[in-house]
Amino acid sequence: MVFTWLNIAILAALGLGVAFAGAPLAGSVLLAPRASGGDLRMPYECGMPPHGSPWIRFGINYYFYALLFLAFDVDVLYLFPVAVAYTEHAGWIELVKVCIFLAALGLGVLYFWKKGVFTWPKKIS
Amino acid sequence: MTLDFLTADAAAKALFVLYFLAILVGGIMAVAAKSLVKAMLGLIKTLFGVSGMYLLMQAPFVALMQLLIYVGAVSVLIFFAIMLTRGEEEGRPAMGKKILAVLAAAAPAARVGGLLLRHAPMPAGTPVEISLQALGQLLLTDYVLAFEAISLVLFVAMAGAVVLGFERRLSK
Repeated sequence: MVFTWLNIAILAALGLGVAFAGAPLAGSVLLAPRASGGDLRMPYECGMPPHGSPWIRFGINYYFYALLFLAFDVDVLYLFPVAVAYTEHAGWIELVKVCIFLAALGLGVLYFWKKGVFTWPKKIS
Repeated sequence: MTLDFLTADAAAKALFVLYFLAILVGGIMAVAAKSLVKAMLGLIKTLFGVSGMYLLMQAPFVALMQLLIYVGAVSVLIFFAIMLTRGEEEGRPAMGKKILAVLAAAAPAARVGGLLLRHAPMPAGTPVEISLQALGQLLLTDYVLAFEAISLVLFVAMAGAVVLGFERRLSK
Protein backbone atom coordinates (compact mmCIF):
# COMPACT_ATOMS: atom_id res chain seq x y z
CA MET A 1 0.00 0.00 0.00
CA VAL A 2 1.32 3.35 -0.96
CA PHE A 3 0.03 6.65 0.25
CA THR A 4 -0.39 9.37 -2.34
CA TRP A 5 -1.97 12.77 -1.91
CA LEU A 6 -4.28 11.91 -4.81
CA ASN A 7 -6.29 9.86 -2.30
CA ILE A 8 -6.81 12.91 -0.14
CA ALA A 9 -7.55 15.10 -3.15
CA ILE A 10 -10.29 12.78 -4.40
CA LEU A 11 -11.76 12.35 -0.93
CA ALA A 12 -11.69 16.13 -0.44
CA ALA A 13 -13.47 16.63 -3.78
CA LEU A 14 -16.03 14.03 -2.72
CA GLY A 15 -16.52 15.82 0.59
CA LEU A 16 -16.90 19.12 -1.20
CA GLY A 17 -19.55 17.58 -3.46
CA VAL A 18 -21.42 16.14 -0.49
CA ALA A 19 -21.27 19.51 1.26
CA PHE A 20 -22.44 21.29 -1.88
CA ALA A 21 -25.43 18.96 -2.13
CA GLY A 22 -26.06 18.75 1.60
CA ALA A 23 -25.83 22.43 2.50
CA PRO A 24 -29.04 23.48 0.70
CA LEU A 25 -30.87 20.53 2.25
CA ALA A 26 -29.60 21.44 5.71
CA GLY A 27 -30.41 25.08 5.04
CA SER A 28 -33.96 24.27 4.07
CA VAL A 29 -34.40 22.14 7.19
CA LEU A 30 -33.09 24.95 9.37
CA LEU A 31 -34.61 27.97 7.69
CA ALA A 32 -37.74 26.94 5.80
CA PRO A 33 -41.15 27.40 7.41
CA ARG A 34 -42.75 24.19 8.57
CA ALA A 35 -45.88 22.92 6.89
CA SER A 36 -47.64 19.61 6.92
CA GLY A 37 -50.81 17.93 5.79
CA GLY A 38 -52.87 18.59 2.73
CA ASP A 39 -51.37 17.72 -0.63
CA LEU A 40 -47.79 18.31 0.50
CA ARG A 41 -46.71 14.75 -0.21
CA MET A 42 -48.13 14.72 -3.73
CA PRO A 43 -45.69 14.80 -6.65
CA TYR A 44 -47.34 17.99 -7.87
CA GLU A 45 -48.77 19.95 -5.03
CA CYS A 46 -50.89 22.20 -7.20
CA GLY A 47 -51.53 20.03 -10.22
CA MET A 48 -53.69 17.14 -11.21
CA PRO A 49 -53.94 14.26 -8.75
CA PRO A 50 -51.83 11.49 -10.31
CA HIS A 51 -53.29 8.10 -11.15
CA GLY A 52 -51.66 4.82 -10.32
CA SER A 53 -48.17 4.01 -9.21
CA PRO A 54 -45.25 6.25 -10.14
CA TRP A 55 -43.34 3.12 -11.13
CA ILE A 56 -44.03 2.87 -14.81
CA ARG A 57 -42.05 1.03 -17.44
CA PHE A 58 -40.72 3.32 -20.06
CA GLY A 59 -39.49 2.57 -23.54
CA ILE A 60 -36.50 0.27 -23.97
CA ASN A 61 -35.11 2.82 -26.41
CA TYR A 62 -33.81 4.98 -23.59
CA TYR A 63 -31.55 2.13 -22.56
CA PHE A 64 -29.58 2.38 -25.78
CA TYR A 65 -28.34 5.85 -24.99
CA ALA A 66 -26.89 4.59 -21.73
CA LEU A 67 -25.44 1.57 -23.50
CA LEU A 68 -23.83 3.63 -26.26
CA PHE A 69 -22.49 6.03 -23.65
CA LEU A 70 -20.92 3.12 -21.79
CA ALA A 71 -19.27 1.76 -24.94
CA PHE A 72 -17.79 5.13 -25.85
CA ASP A 73 -16.70 5.56 -22.24
CA VAL A 74 -14.68 2.35 -22.49
CA ASP A 75 -13.18 3.64 -25.73
CA VAL A 76 -12.03 6.77 -23.94
CA LEU A 77 -10.27 4.56 -21.41
CA TYR A 78 -7.96 3.31 -24.16
CA LEU A 79 -7.61 6.64 -25.90
CA PHE A 80 -6.18 8.36 -22.80
CA PRO A 81 -2.88 6.44 -22.62
CA VAL A 82 -2.53 6.45 -26.39
CA ALA A 83 -3.05 10.20 -26.50
CA VAL A 84 -0.37 10.68 -23.84
CA ALA A 85 2.14 8.48 -25.70
CA TYR A 86 1.20 9.86 -29.12
CA THR A 87 3.48 12.90 -28.98
CA GLU A 88 6.50 10.64 -28.49
CA HIS A 89 6.23 9.35 -32.02
CA ALA A 90 7.09 10.89 -35.33
CA GLY A 91 5.59 9.81 -38.63
CA TRP A 92 2.34 8.62 -40.05
CA ILE A 93 2.10 5.10 -38.77
CA GLU A 94 0.74 6.09 -35.32
CA LEU A 95 -1.78 8.37 -36.96
CA VAL A 96 -2.97 5.43 -39.04
CA LYS A 97 -3.21 3.22 -35.97
CA VAL A 98 -5.32 5.74 -34.07
CA CYS A 99 -7.42 6.40 -37.15
CA ILE A 100 -8.24 2.71 -37.52
CA PHE A 101 -9.37 2.71 -33.90
CA LEU A 102 -11.52 5.77 -34.46
CA ALA A 103 -12.82 4.51 -37.81
CA ALA A 104 -14.55 1.53 -36.25
CA LEU A 105 -16.30 3.87 -33.83
CA GLY A 106 -17.07 6.31 -36.60
CA LEU A 107 -18.68 3.53 -38.59
CA GLY A 108 -20.73 2.76 -35.53
CA VAL A 109 -21.91 6.34 -35.29
CA LEU A 110 -22.81 6.34 -38.99
CA TYR A 111 -24.74 3.10 -38.60
CA PHE A 112 -26.70 4.41 -35.64
CA TRP A 113 -27.43 7.59 -37.52
CA LYS A 114 -28.84 5.60 -40.43
CA LYS A 115 -30.79 3.42 -38.05
CA GLY A 116 -32.40 6.48 -36.50
CA VAL A 117 -30.93 6.20 -33.04
CA PHE A 118 -30.08 9.87 -32.94
CA THR A 119 -33.42 11.24 -34.09
CA TRP A 120 -35.62 12.37 -31.29
CA PRO A 121 -39.25 12.66 -32.30
CA LYS A 122 -41.55 14.98 -30.45
CA LYS A 123 -43.83 12.22 -29.34
CA ILE A 124 -42.34 9.11 -27.80
CA SER A 125 -44.51 6.08 -27.54
CA MET B 1 2.74 18.51 19.32
CA THR B 2 4.54 15.89 17.29
CA LEU B 3 3.13 14.20 14.28
CA ASP B 4 5.39 11.18 14.35
CA PHE B 5 2.57 8.71 14.30
CA LEU B 6 1.22 10.25 11.12
CA THR B 7 3.63 8.62 8.72
CA ALA B 8 2.82 7.84 5.13
CA ASP B 9 2.53 4.18 6.02
CA ALA B 10 0.00 4.87 8.76
CA ALA B 11 -1.95 7.13 6.41
CA ALA B 12 -2.02 4.37 3.79
CA LYS B 13 -3.28 1.92 6.40
CA ALA B 14 -5.97 4.33 7.57
CA LEU B 15 -7.08 4.84 3.97
CA PHE B 16 -7.10 1.08 3.47
CA VAL B 17 -9.44 0.69 6.44
CA LEU B 18 -11.64 3.49 5.08
CA TYR B 19 -11.90 1.89 1.63
CA PHE B 20 -12.39 -1.54 3.14
CA LEU B 21 -15.29 -0.23 5.22
CA ALA B 22 -16.75 1.47 2.13
CA ILE B 23 -16.63 -1.82 0.23
CA LEU B 24 -18.08 -3.82 3.11
CA VAL B 25 -20.84 -1.37 4.06
CA GLY B 26 -21.72 -0.85 0.40
CA GLY B 27 -21.90 -4.58 -0.19
CA ILE B 28 -24.15 -5.15 2.80
CA MET B 29 -26.31 -2.23 1.71
CA ALA B 30 -26.58 -3.64 -1.81
CA VAL B 31 -27.70 -7.03 -0.52
CA ALA B 32 -29.92 -5.96 2.36
CA ALA B 33 -31.69 -2.89 0.97
CA LYS B 34 -35.37 -3.33 0.29
CA SER B 35 -35.42 -0.76 -2.46
CA LEU B 36 -33.49 -1.60 -5.61
CA VAL B 37 -32.38 2.01 -5.97
CA LYS B 38 -30.92 1.97 -2.48
CA ALA B 39 -29.21 -1.33 -3.30
CA MET B 40 -27.65 0.38 -6.28
CA LEU B 41 -26.40 3.19 -4.04
CA GLY B 42 -24.67 0.52 -1.98
CA LEU B 43 -23.13 -0.91 -5.13
CA ILE B 44 -21.83 2.54 -6.06
CA LYS B 45 -20.28 2.86 -2.62
CA THR B 46 -18.54 -0.47 -3.12
CA LEU B 47 -17.23 0.65 -6.50
CA PHE B 48 -15.86 3.81 -4.88
CA GLY B 49 -14.05 1.70 -2.31
CA VAL B 50 -12.55 -0.53 -5.01
CA SER B 51 -11.34 2.56 -6.82
CA GLY B 52 -9.64 3.66 -3.60
CA MET B 53 -7.93 0.27 -3.40
CA TYR B 54 -6.54 0.82 -6.90
CA LEU B 55 -5.16 4.16 -5.73
CA LEU B 56 -3.40 2.44 -2.84
CA MET B 57 -1.91 -0.03 -5.32
CA GLN B 58 -0.31 2.84 -7.24
CA ALA B 59 -2.65 2.57 -10.20
CA PRO B 60 -4.25 6.02 -10.30
CA PHE B 61 -5.29 5.68 -13.94
CA VAL B 62 -7.18 2.48 -13.27
CA ALA B 63 -8.71 4.11 -10.19
CA LEU B 64 -9.93 7.13 -12.14
CA MET B 65 -11.24 4.92 -14.93
CA GLN B 66 -13.06 2.86 -12.31
CA LEU B 67 -14.76 6.07 -11.24
CA LEU B 68 -15.46 7.16 -14.82
CA ILE B 69 -16.77 3.86 -16.14
CA TYR B 70 -18.22 1.99 -13.19
CA VAL B 71 -19.43 4.81 -11.00
CA GLY B 72 -20.25 7.02 -13.98
CA ALA B 73 -21.62 4.78 -16.69
CA VAL B 74 -22.34 1.28 -15.42
CA SER B 75 -24.38 2.55 -12.48
CA VAL B 76 -26.44 4.70 -14.86
CA LEU B 77 -26.97 1.62 -16.99
CA ILE B 78 -28.11 -0.39 -13.97
CA PHE B 79 -30.41 2.43 -12.95
CA PHE B 80 -31.95 2.37 -16.41
CA ALA B 81 -32.37 -1.38 -16.13
CA ILE B 82 -34.15 -0.97 -12.78
CA MET B 83 -36.46 1.65 -14.21
CA LEU B 84 -37.16 -0.49 -17.27
CA THR B 85 -37.99 -3.76 -15.61
CA ARG B 86 -39.55 -2.90 -12.30
CA GLY B 87 -43.25 -3.28 -12.08
CA GLU B 88 -45.25 -3.20 -8.89
CA GLU B 89 -43.81 -3.67 -5.44
CA GLU B 90 -43.16 -7.30 -4.76
CA GLY B 91 -43.65 -9.00 -1.44
CA ARG B 92 -40.83 -10.30 0.70
CA PRO B 93 -39.03 -13.29 -0.78
CA ALA B 94 -39.90 -16.71 0.56
CA MET B 95 -37.67 -18.44 3.09
CA GLY B 96 -36.62 -21.19 0.68
CA LYS B 97 -35.52 -18.60 -1.83
CA LYS B 98 -33.45 -16.85 0.82
CA ILE B 99 -31.68 -20.08 1.76
CA LEU B 100 -30.95 -20.78 -1.89
CA ALA B 101 -29.58 -17.26 -2.30
CA VAL B 102 -27.25 -17.68 0.68
CA LEU B 103 -26.08 -21.02 -0.72
CA ALA B 104 -25.49 -19.51 -4.15
CA ALA B 105 -23.42 -16.74 -2.60
CA ALA B 106 -21.52 -19.08 -0.28
CA ALA B 107 -20.45 -21.56 -2.95
CA PRO B 108 -18.12 -19.24 -4.93
CA ALA B 109 -16.97 -17.55 -1.71
CA ALA B 110 -15.97 -20.90 -0.23
CA ARG B 111 -14.25 -21.94 -3.44
CA VAL B 112 -12.24 -18.73 -3.83
CA GLY B 113 -11.57 -18.53 -0.09
CA GLY B 114 -10.28 -22.12 -0.06
CA LEU B 115 -7.99 -21.38 -2.99
CA LEU B 116 -6.66 -18.29 -1.25
CA LEU B 117 -6.02 -20.21 1.96
CA ARG B 118 -4.18 -23.00 0.17
CA HIS B 119 -2.16 -20.75 -2.12
CA ALA B 120 -1.39 -17.66 -0.10
CA PRO B 121 -0.62 -14.66 -2.30
CA MET B 122 3.03 -13.81 -2.42
CA PRO B 123 4.04 -10.48 -0.91
CA ALA B 124 4.60 -8.37 -3.97
CA GLY B 125 6.55 -5.61 -2.30
CA THR B 126 5.82 -1.97 -2.79
CA PRO B 127 3.93 -1.44 -6.03
CA VAL B 128 5.51 0.83 -8.57
CA GLU B 129 3.41 3.18 -10.60
CA ILE B 130 3.46 2.54 -14.33
CA SER B 131 3.16 5.80 -16.19
CA LEU B 132 0.31 6.47 -18.55
CA GLN B 133 2.85 7.12 -21.26
CA ALA B 134 4.34 3.64 -20.90
CA LEU B 135 0.86 2.14 -21.16
CA GLY B 136 0.11 4.12 -24.30
CA GLN B 137 3.49 3.21 -25.74
CA LEU B 138 2.67 -0.47 -25.37
CA LEU B 139 -0.79 0.00 -26.85
CA LEU B 140 0.72 1.66 -29.90
CA THR B 141 3.53 -0.84 -30.44
CA ASP B 142 3.39 -4.34 -28.95
CA TYR B 143 -0.33 -4.51 -28.34
CA VAL B 144 -1.54 -2.56 -31.32
CA LEU B 145 -3.62 -5.48 -32.59
CA ALA B 146 -5.40 -5.74 -29.25
CA PHE B 147 -5.89 -1.98 -29.29
CA GLU B 148 -7.62 -2.09 -32.68
CA ALA B 149 -9.58 -5.19 -31.69
CA ILE B 150 -10.99 -3.37 -28.64
CA SER B 151 -12.53 -0.74 -30.87
CA LEU B 152 -13.99 -3.43 -33.11
CA VAL B 153 -15.37 -5.42 -30.17
CA LEU B 154 -17.03 -2.33 -28.74
CA PHE B 155 -18.51 -1.50 -32.13
CA VAL B 156 -19.92 -5.02 -32.42
CA ALA B 157 -21.35 -4.76 -28.90
CA MET B 158 -23.05 -1.44 -29.64
CA ALA B 159 -24.31 -2.50 -33.04
CA GLY B 160 -25.54 -5.82 -31.66
CA ALA B 161 -27.54 -4.09 -28.98
CA VAL B 162 -29.10 -1.74 -31.51
CA VAL B 163 -29.87 -4.54 -33.98
CA LEU B 164 -31.51 -6.65 -31.30
CA GLY B 165 -33.54 -4.12 -29.46
CA PHE B 166 -33.83 -0.72 -31.01
CA GLU B 167 -37.21 0.26 -32.32
CA ARG B 168 -37.44 3.19 -34.65
CA ARG B 169 -39.80 5.66 -33.13
CA LEU B 170 -42.34 7.12 -35.44
CA SER B 171 -42.45 10.87 -35.41
CA LYS B 172 -45.85 12.36 -35.76
